[in-house]
Amino acid sequence: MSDRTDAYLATLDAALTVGARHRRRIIEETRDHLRDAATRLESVGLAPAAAEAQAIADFGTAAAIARAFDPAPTPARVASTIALHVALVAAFAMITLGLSGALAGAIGLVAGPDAVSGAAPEGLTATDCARLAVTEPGAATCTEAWSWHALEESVLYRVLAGALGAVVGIAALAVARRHLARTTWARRTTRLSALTAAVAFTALCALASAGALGLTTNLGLFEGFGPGWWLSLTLATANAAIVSAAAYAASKRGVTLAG
Amino acid sequence: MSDDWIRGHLDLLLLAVLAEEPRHGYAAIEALKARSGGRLDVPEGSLYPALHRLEAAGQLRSAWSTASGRRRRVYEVTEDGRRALEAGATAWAGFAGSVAAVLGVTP
Repeated sequence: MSDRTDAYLATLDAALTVGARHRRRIIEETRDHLRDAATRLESVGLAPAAAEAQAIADFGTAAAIARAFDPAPTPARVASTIALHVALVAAFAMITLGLSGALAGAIGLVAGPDAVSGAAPEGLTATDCARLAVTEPGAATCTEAWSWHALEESVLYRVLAGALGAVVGIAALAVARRHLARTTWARRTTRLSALTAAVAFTALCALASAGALGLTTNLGLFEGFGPGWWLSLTLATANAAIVSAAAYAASKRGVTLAG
Repeated sequence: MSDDWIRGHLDLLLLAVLAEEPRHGYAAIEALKARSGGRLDVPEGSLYPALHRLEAAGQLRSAWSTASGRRRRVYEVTEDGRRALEAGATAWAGFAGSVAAVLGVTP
């Protein structure tokens, strides 16, 4: 097979919107077909190059073939695609939360647990303090134990959510890359990135506003959340917005996760 | 003959030539041309979507087969496919006869 057939097959491969396995089969069958057709055309007198060109022309344009293979949007296919996208966005949000947990931990270690957990509540009972003394044996006072405990919980839950998000994200990516064609995946990556950037930016604004309100007013609505609690979430969300906006921009330039 | 006419009946035509014997895609097109005396010139690119659609519907099954050093996907008609062919052929004969009667021509 010559460069002409290879170029045609590459164009068809890129245009097909079926899954990877089905795409490979179509390309292989098309290659066989073009070879048979060219051989027959040569047998009736065409020169090899002309026979190959005629075989490709008789087969049809790559775009038309790809359209004919385009799977119909059955309810099951639509539902599984939506579920896949929801899983990807949720995974990204959970990974962001995990990153914020790591940031909160770093802030707590550098600036002290109060920076993340805020001031301890005033109503700690003797029972509370006894329980905290067990979980935080290194703390000098009951309020310090409460602060460390609150910091640890904040970090632990967020990091666990991030780890779960990573597992969900890897699984969803594997499914998407296996069952969605490159072109389909590229288009959807663009849309998902734009959507995620918009959601993350909105969340960032909401977090910044809530944090600023909590830190500058004394309404008692934000007790137990120190500046580090807000800062870690805000920085992680800003990072999510920047990453997804960059992914959107890269997708528009034709660079996608699908490779 | 119009491509649209052929496309509209391609599934039935494919079932008919594959019911004779299992064939790969190119051989199926050659069989269609031969059986129609060269009058049915199937748009080649439309062949494989139809084959895959029939396979997904359970009317064909396929497998890779190697012959003369060439590996090819060979299709054969299933029992469901034979029933669909029989029903389709009956329906087509009735339709063609009705149209021919209206037009006053011999089918």
